[in-house]
Amino acid sequence: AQDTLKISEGQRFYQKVCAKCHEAGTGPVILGRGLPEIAITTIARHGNNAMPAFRLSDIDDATLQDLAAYVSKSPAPKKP
Amino acid sequence: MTKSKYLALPKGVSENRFDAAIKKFTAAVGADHVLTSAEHLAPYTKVMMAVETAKHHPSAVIMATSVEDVQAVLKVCNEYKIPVWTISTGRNFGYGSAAPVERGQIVLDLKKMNKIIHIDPELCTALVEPGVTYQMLYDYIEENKLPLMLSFPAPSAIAGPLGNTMDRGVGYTPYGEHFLMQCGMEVVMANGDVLRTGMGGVKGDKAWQVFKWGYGPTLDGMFTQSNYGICTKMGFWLMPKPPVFKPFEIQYENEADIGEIVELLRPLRIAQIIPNAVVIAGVLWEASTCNTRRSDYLTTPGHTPDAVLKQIQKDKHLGAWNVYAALYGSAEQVEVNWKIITETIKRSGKGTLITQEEAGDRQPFKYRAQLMSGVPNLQEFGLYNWRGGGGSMWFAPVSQARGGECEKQVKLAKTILNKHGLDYVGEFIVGWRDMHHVIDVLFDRTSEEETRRANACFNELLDEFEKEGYAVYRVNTAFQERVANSYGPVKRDVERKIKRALDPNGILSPGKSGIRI
Repeated sequence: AQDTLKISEGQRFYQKVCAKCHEAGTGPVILGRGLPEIAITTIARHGNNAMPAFRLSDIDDATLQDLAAYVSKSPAPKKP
Repeated sequence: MTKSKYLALPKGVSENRFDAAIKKFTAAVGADHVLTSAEHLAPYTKVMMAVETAKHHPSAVIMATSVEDVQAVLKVCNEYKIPVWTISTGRNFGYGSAAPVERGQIVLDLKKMNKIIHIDPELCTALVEPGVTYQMLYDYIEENKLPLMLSFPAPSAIAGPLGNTMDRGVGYTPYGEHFLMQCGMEVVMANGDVLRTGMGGVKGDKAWQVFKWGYGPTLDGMFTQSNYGICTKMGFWLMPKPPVFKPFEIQYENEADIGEIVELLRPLRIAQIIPNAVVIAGVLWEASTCNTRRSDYLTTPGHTPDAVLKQIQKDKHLGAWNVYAALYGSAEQVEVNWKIITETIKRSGKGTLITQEEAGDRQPFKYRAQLMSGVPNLQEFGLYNWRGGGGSMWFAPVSQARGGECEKQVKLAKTILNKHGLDYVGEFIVGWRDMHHVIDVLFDRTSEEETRRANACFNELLDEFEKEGYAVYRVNTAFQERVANSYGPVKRDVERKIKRALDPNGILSPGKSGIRI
């Protein structure tokens, strides 16, 4: 359920953790690219070269799925 | 050999016996908290070390949610002689990450034990569980508008104080020596007893987080970088938020300036004119953290030539050495100390001062200022993009805060790294009298050949530094046995005797810091 005032758990995790690299030029931009959800969940669990892996104790499967859906469906970020 | 249904098995434990142990673990903590599938274990296998990943594969993971869980797990471990590797937030990148020191150990993951038990804004203390991250503490402090400031290492947002302090990690504020600022610990011993250090054992006590030593032997240090117990609660001191925070940078043009820089800083640091854990960062460290990649300049293998380093210095407006420090206090205090600093630098005839006003929002100044004032960010992970490929090991020798010594270490490290086709990416973290000379041995782990070189390089760094009387303060799990030898046989013997007395079955992280029964 998308609520304009309340953000979902997945989106919150994105903002608190992922964005610190993926919106700082350290990791690639992942919003607005229509990345497949399965790619997002797989890379999050396995890590990928410079990117660390995230455990079930960091983010449970449901929240990770929610995060993947959020990232996958997000609009392209505004150009600065 | 038949293929096991487990990713790995603990040393000397048969699959049948492990099946039985897993059944007991499941009964103790619930099926949801016992992980054995390859899919669930995958995140615990991600390492950055220059060794085969399989050497550090866990056999299973248990997620504990309480002290009682930890006790129940240890009971089964003792019964079945299952070795258990404990992690808190498990973000020990470059030191082994969340993977066990030895293949087949089960990982006891304490990330779900994540209560901020207490923060006292008057006494400026905190008491936390293992899974608490610095970001959680930062959010709590902000939401409750507490006049307190954190200190943390660069992986701030996802790392946590308990795990970092157990490995004696460091931060960048005046409270940057984390173990020094730690006060009170709760530890589950191998036999299930719950020990509280310092004042913690006194019935009705209120001083656990304010007086470190307690009475009789003070044991906290014994539990850091060791495997004598499992820390389930830790107290530590927090710095009151000062009215004024003034970060600044001093840039130096030449690599050869390092000796003079150290001589200039030492008296300021020992006299507490500059109170924080200053850093003196080399050009490649700084370049990486403002999103510069080696491939922007070079695609040829081998180390990066000095001419390219000079070009990067010019392009990115960096020094060969970049000093980051800060002043804290009232406006008057900061002004007095700022005057001392500017005059000292002027007298020295070298170094360009850069203030926050001049630097603006520019990186890497911005992230440095944030780290020195306890604001979480992950900007420094840019280091891992310098060569990319996920290879990184910290080589962190201790040095006197003396110019000649630091100069000697830089030359030695750079020569060895370059010989193996790798770069000197280093910084000095300035203590009162010591330096943590932190060198990121960066390599492309997707290349087998480069990974072999990085392994040989790390070995040679340890060997050659040892010949000069230097040893590291902390090391990744693949080299913990090796580094234990640097400190001599008597120390190892005493450590083993303590281990045998406290953990007769050798179930707690055997191999941590080279310690076994």
